[in-house]
Amino acid sequence: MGKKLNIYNLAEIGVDVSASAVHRKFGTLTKAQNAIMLPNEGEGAIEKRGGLTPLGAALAGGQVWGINNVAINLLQTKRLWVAYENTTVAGATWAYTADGTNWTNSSTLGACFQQQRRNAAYKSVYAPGRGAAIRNRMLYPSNDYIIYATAGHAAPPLRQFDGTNDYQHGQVPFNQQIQIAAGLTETNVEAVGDIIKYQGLYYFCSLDDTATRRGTVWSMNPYDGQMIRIGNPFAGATFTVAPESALGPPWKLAPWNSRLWATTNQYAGTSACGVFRIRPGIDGEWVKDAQFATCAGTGLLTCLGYLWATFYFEAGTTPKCIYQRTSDGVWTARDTYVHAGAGGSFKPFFFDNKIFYFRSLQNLVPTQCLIRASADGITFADDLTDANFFTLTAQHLDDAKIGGSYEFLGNLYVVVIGTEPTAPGLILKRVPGNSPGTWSVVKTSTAGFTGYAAVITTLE
Amino acid sequence: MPYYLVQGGTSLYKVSSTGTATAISIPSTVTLRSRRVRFAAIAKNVVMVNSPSRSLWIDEDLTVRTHTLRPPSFAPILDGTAGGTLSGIFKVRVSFYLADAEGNIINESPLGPASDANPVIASKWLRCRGVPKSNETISGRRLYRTTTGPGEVYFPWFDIENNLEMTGVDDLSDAALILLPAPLNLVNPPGTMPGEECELITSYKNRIFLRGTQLVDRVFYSEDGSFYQFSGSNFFDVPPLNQDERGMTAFAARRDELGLLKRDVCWKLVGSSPDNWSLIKFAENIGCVSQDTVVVIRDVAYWLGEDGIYTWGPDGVVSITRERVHPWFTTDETFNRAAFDVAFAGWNPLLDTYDIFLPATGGTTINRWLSYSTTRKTWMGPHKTGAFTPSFSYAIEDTNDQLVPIICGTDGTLNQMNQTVGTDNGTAIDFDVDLAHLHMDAPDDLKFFGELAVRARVEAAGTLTITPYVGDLTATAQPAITMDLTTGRKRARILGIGRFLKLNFRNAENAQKLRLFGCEIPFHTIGRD
Repeated sequence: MGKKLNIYNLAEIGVDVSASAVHRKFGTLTKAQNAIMLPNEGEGAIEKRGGLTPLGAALAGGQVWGINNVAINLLQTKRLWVAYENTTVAGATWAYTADGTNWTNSSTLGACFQQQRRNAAYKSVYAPGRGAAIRNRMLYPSNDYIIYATAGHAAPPLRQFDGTNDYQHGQVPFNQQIQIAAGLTETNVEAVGDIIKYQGLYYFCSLDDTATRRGTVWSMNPYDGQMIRIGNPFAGATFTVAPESALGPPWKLAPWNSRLWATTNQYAGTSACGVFRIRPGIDGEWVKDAQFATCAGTGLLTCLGYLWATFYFEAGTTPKCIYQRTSDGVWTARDTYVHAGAGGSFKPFFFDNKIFYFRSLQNLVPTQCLIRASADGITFADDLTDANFFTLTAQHLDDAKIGGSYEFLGNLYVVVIGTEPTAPGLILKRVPGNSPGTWSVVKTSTAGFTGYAAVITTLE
Repeated sequence: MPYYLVQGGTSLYKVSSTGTATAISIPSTVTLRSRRVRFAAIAKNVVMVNSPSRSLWIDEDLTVRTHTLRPPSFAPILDGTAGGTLSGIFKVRVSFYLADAEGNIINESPLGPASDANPVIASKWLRCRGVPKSNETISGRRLYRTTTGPGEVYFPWFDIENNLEMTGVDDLSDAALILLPAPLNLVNPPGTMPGEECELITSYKNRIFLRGTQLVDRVFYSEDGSFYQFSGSNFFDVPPLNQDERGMTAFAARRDELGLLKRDVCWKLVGSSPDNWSLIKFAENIGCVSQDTVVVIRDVAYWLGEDGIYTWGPDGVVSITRERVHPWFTTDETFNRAAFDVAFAGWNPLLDTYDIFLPATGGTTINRWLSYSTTRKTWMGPHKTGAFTPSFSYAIEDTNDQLVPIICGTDGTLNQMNQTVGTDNGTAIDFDVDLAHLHMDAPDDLKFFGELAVRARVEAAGTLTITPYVGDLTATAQPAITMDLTTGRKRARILGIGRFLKLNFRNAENAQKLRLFGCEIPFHTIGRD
């Protein structure tokens, strides 16, 4: 009698090469090359496996030897943000770049032009502060206040920008000595100076009172906004009330050898200034490490293993120089030069394993306005002359025009504020290598920049 | 968007889930060699071993550094210098450290040797001369000192935030020292110093576990939550010791048990912390021949042993090959068993299969793979592709965080599996299936096999070739039958008379899909001849 064997269980047993040919069950496979069992409306059947499609191009290196076993999801994109001097650039307050070449305007952040930029008392030594960012959060001073001693004055606000959202993070507290002297009248500090980050905290200077040359150094917790005064406050040499340190307000900050360092500035290069140090959380007061006569502190930098300080001299035929301090307390003048009249060195920065600083002779000898650089901290050479600077920017180089300097994507970016009131702000780029350096303009604005800038990372 | 680290040739790449590859720089003192790379991760820090000439660490910003920092090899010299306020006798030890952009220490070497005590000082700076410098890229050096006496406990003192200066001074008082003492017995694990590299690595219970190339029976583990701190006492040996040159061959990290596999014995580490860890032998005469075949799927570990594939889960150790595909792993007819140690495996989450890649008989090139359905408990394969030679398999996340299985090639490609196209990037997929001999429960009787009917899914085009074998077990192939796949059904010719019937189904057309439902074979028994 005829029978029929129906085999619809091809996916049930799969391959069986262990049993003998006589003992295998019906529906068993002995070979299933490129055959799969796919549950998508195919349960019970077998089918040709799906194709293999390259994911992107082949790696140039060749054979794949392995892949890490955890997806990396928090890759962050770095962006360099630079603040405009005012809001006239199509309503934008800041501009950013992710590649150093293409810039995008943004009005998300607050304007950070500060009143003190116009304060004649600060003269040309006013150095726009640096921005600083701690892990996707940039701290910067905003312009949303009225400066002290003007009707309706308020405390300078500090804002944070996290790459997406911008919000006020705190207001700088008043100066205790000024408030005591004012009695019941509300006082406020005038402006925010330098901002740096160090061991997970922000440290910044407040410029508390122009008249008495007071100032304070603060730490700020990036997460809760708490501000704590670091050490004792500062005041001008003739205004000091205990426990204030003399020699003017703190102007620039730098961390070095487990200490926070500050250089002071009495707004005049005929006064003295000092370099102070403190161990935050350990020391109660600042220790004066060195005092420099007839000059104002303009810059501090840690690099090449040393602490570096720059100074501005307002008058006199004085050796104008950048100083180096070693761990055992020795200050040594480096790259000394002599010039009759105002001039000095400013805003040192580190890039490409070299120390750089700006030299400015206050409109007297433009040809001696330079950016100098040294790989060993001893032998300096011109990296960008005023003539070349003028060729690039149609402006002469002087310290008031230079804002922050930031390393970004392996290149150096220098924010040029622009000669007020109409000269455009610029952003210069210096690539590594070469001496003199290779400089170019990567952005020209219809208005100037404040100098505030920072590299922050954003979650993408 | 998810990114992965991929070693292609002797370069390291960041590969996005869409396949965009970007080369990543590695330290100039380290080279990647043409060998399997292995990774482990703790808190966004990935450690990379085996292929680098020195173990590497990749942070969440994809900055590549050496896994650990070598410690200072000598101690500074202490004396006093005028100006400070410190008094007493002290000793100092130095470490090298790396700090992130915020100044937080993200990696630190073990401490160097202790200095000699300084000549007693009174109200001075304590000065360290000859502070050791590192020949690696570091952020600075951290100096630890004792309290006066000198004591034996070292406290963080101050940092020299560079790798240049060899002199440091400070007068921090004993009372102002940070109270948390320095761990004195940190050591560098294998993969740090020349001569001992790291070959195996895994992460388990928030620690890194690794095995070096010298002490092959010894497992080192990191401090809790740290990827770089290894205490000098953080190791254990996996017995038997010195039994062979391979030592421990693989880690298998399950949820609550860490498998420590040798070639012929399996141990597991159980317990919640080193205080209550214990080693338990859970299998004897069973082992693992290749770390790269270990895959853990839903808390069940799969691996290749000398005689087949084993699973280790809640039901203990089970061979999943002995019942049906034992000859694949115990004879040389299908695969080159001598090259099992180069095998690798992956998980195909779409089919829920454990896929193991092996070299066919006669060669060492990995050119076949088998797939085991973890739900049906069935084997399919051996599969192959003519498009490239497989070199690695893994499942990566796409832009929607969905897992996509991939097979990588020796040509540098990452190929997504289970694509709806019936082609391997232009190369035909050779579907070749043998149905086992059919004897209708009467192997000794002659049967008449009538007209074969085959059912398949209707396709837009294509031909299925069906080759019948009718006769005895050694019957030769009959003329092939072709089935037009646009019809979905084929009623073929009468197959003939024989004791056995075997059918082969084949399609090797490019870009051709195929789903085979089954077949029907009318027959009647003729009887014994």
